[in-house]
Amino acid sequence: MRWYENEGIDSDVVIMTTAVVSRSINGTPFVPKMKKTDFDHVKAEVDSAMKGLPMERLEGGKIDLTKMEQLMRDRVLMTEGAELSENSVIYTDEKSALNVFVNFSEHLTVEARSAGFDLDVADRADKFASMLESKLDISFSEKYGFLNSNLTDTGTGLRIFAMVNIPGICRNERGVEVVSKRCQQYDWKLAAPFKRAGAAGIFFILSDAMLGVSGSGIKENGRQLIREIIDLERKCRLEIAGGNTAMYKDLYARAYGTLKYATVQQPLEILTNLSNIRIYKNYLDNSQDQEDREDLPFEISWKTINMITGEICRECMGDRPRNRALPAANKKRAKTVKEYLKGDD
Amino acid sequence: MICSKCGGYVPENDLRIFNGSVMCANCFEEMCQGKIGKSMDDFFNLPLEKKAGMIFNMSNLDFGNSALTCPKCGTSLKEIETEKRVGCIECFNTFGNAISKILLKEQGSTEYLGRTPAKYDPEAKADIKTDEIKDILDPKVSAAAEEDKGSLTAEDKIEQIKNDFYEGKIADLPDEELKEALAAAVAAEDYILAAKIRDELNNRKEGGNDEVV
Repeated sequence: MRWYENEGIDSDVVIMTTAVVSRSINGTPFVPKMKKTDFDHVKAEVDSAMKGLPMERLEGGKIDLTKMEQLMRDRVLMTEGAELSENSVIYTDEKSALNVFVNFSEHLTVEARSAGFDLDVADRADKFASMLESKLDISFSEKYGFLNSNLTDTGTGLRIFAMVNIPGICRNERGVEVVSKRCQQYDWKLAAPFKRAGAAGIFFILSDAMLGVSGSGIKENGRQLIREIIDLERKCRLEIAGGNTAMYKDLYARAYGTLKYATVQQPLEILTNLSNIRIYKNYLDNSQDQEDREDLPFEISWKTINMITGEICRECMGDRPRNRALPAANKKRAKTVKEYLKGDD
Repeated sequence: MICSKCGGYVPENDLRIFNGSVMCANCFEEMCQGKIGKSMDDFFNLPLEKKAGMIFNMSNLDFGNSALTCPKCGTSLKEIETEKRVGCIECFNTFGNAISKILLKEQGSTEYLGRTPAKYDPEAKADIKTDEIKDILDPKVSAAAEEDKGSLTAEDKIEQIKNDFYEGKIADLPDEELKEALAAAVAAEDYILAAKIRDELNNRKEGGNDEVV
C-alpha cells in the first residue's frame, strides 16, 4: 500500500505532510560546482552508508518509463525525467513514504511523507538523517549548523511542508491574509504550490527558518500553527454551509456529478469541485439532520478526495500550463478522476 | 561603501561619486583642491549627457568586493548574493560577513540552535539502531490510532472490516484480527461478511481448502 492510500489524521483539511532534511558531505564541492568525479564520490559514499537497508536504488537517467510513472504517481518526482540528471540517485522504500535523493539540489536530501496531518514525518526524516550522519562525514559548523549549498537550507536543514485545502478560509474576506500573517508570526510561510492554486484554496504551509530555532521548535510551531488553521477552516466551512444549506447541498451533488460523469475536466475545475465537496461534507459529518442527507445517493471518502486533489496538484506542479490545457490531457484527467471515484462505489 | 582612494568606510549618506569611483568626503575635497587626481573642473567640463549618464548609472557601479572569489571553488560574492548559493565549505570562510548578512536577511537569525551531527554526539550515535531505521521505513499505525482501534465496539469493528474489504486492505490484517472480526460478524448475524472473512482465512492457508468455520 502506498503512503497516500492511508486516510491520515485531519485529512479533511490537510492533504499531506512532508519533511525534508538536507545534508552535504564534507570535503566535496557543493552541487553547483561539482564535477563528474565529485558526483561519483558522493554516490559511492552514500551507497556504502545505505548498504543493507530495504530500499530500492534508482539511478537517474536509467529509470524506465513504468517506474518513472510510478514515481510520479507516488509524488516522488513531479515531472517526468526533467529533474533527473545521470549523476543523481534516488533511494525509495516500499511505500514511497521515505525517499533519499542523492546529488539533487544538495548532496543528500531525506524526504518523509505522510497522508493527512502527521508531524512525525519530521522525526522520521531526522532519525534517518542521523543514521546517515553516523556513517558519513557531514559538513557542519558550530556557528551555522549543517552547511548546505542553498543558504536558505543552512542551519538545521529541516523543512516541513503541509499541503492544505482551505476553501472555507478563502471564501472569507481577507481570510488568506489573516492566515498568512499568522504563519509569519510562527516563522512559517503560506505559499501557493502552483499558479492559480490559491483560487482553489490549495496552499503549502511551510517552515521558513532553519536558524534561531531548533528542529523540535520547528515541529512544535508547526503543530500549533497548523492546528489553528485546521480549526479555523472547519469553523468557516460549517458557517458557510450552515448559512445556505440548500445551495451548498446542491453544489455538493453537482460537484460530485461533474467529477463522476464529465468526460473532459480541467485541473482548476476539478479542484473547485473538490472544494465544494469538502465544505458540505464537513457540514454533513457534523449534522444529525436527516434532511441534509436526503437525495444524496452517494458517498465520497476523505481519502478519495485527497487522492484526487494530490494527483491534480502533482500534475499542476510538474507540467507546463500549455500541456495541461491539451484536450487529450483533459480527457485523460477525467478518466483518472473516475477511476479514483470507483473505489468509493 | 569603501572609499576608492583611502580605502576607508564611507556611510551611504556621505558618499561622493566622481568618474564612477566612490569617495569619502575628505578625499573628494582633496581631489577637488588638486591634491589627488584631476580637478572637479574636468567633470563640469564634460558634455551634459555624459554627466547625466554618470549620475544615473551609479547603481551599476562596481564597488570592488564583487571581484572577490573563493580560492577553492571560484564562486564570486556577486554569485552568492544573487543566487543565495555557495559553491563549497570554504565559501563560508571567504565570505563570512556577507553570508552572515544574507542569513540574517533570509532567516531572521544567525544563531544555530539545532543538534550536532550524530557522528560527534555519542548519545545520538548509541540511539540509532538498525531495527529502528527499519521501523522508520515501515511506519506502524500511530499510537493514537492503535488506541482508537482498541476501543472499537463490535459494530464499529464490523464496519471497519467491511471498509477494509472494499479498500483492498484486508490482505494487510493479521490472522488474529480476522478471526476476531469473524466472531464479531457471526455474533451480529452478518453472514455475508463472515463468509468473506472465512474465505480470506482459508486462502491464507496452504492449499486454501481447510475449513475454518
